[in-house]
Amino acid sequence: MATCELLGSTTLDNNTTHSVTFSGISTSDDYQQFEILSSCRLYETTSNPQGVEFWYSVNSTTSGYVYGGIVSQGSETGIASPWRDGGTGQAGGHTYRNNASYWNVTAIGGNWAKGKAFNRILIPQAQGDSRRKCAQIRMWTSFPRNDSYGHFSSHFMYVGDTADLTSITLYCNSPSTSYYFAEDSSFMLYGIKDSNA
Amino acid sequence: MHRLVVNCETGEKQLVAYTAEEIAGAEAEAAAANEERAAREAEDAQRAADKESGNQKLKDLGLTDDEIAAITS
Repeated sequence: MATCELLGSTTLDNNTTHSVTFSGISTSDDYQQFEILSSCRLYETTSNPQGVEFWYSVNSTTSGYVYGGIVSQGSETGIASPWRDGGTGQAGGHTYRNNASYWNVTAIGGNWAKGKAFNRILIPQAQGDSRRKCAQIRMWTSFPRNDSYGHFSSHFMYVGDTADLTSITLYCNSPSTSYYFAEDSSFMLYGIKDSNA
Repeated sequence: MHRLVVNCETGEKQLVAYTAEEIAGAEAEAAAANEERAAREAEDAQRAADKESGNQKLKDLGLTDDEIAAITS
């Protein structure tokens, strides 16, 4: 039977936090997957556009990422096809690709005043001899909507780090930017055990 | 600008301020990233315009939407 344990959680009490790190993750326990759930909002400043991304790093190794996802315009016909970027873009979804890539909330009709973004990151662990080796992550995100639009997307992200997972960091936008998560943004890290039992 | 570190072992939370050097570096890289994004968006816009223009030219030749889809997809 699978069990899900809350390993760490936090809620921000300021508007100046650029990244949240969960450190001290035990390497002795039998976690087969990790999962981060977050409910967060981008803190707006005059130099801060409406766009937002989430990046992560594992054991201090920062991810690269490959865009992929589905963006909803809020109507049956406005749902774009899954797509990929990086020179292998599919035909569908071009109209929304830019907005999805950079997650420009305003451009897709989103509205931070309507709520927070919800973000889920699944971190699978390779099993067997390479148990707990972590190099890839799948991330899903939905953004607040106005009365007509919604937005959900996913990113496949990767790092080359194959050491035991001991820390993971979630950034507001890329690590090189100075954007902030807003006050009251919440982050939780779960460990999932024995999912095959 | 801060990073919040949550220690899963102890439960301790530590808010660490970025150094002035780190902030300056981040701002410089952000400016470069914004330029890169603008270039990519312009590229995508041009691609979309080319597609529309190409489709219109095919229509002008008398092809139906289905025929255009068949040869371009």
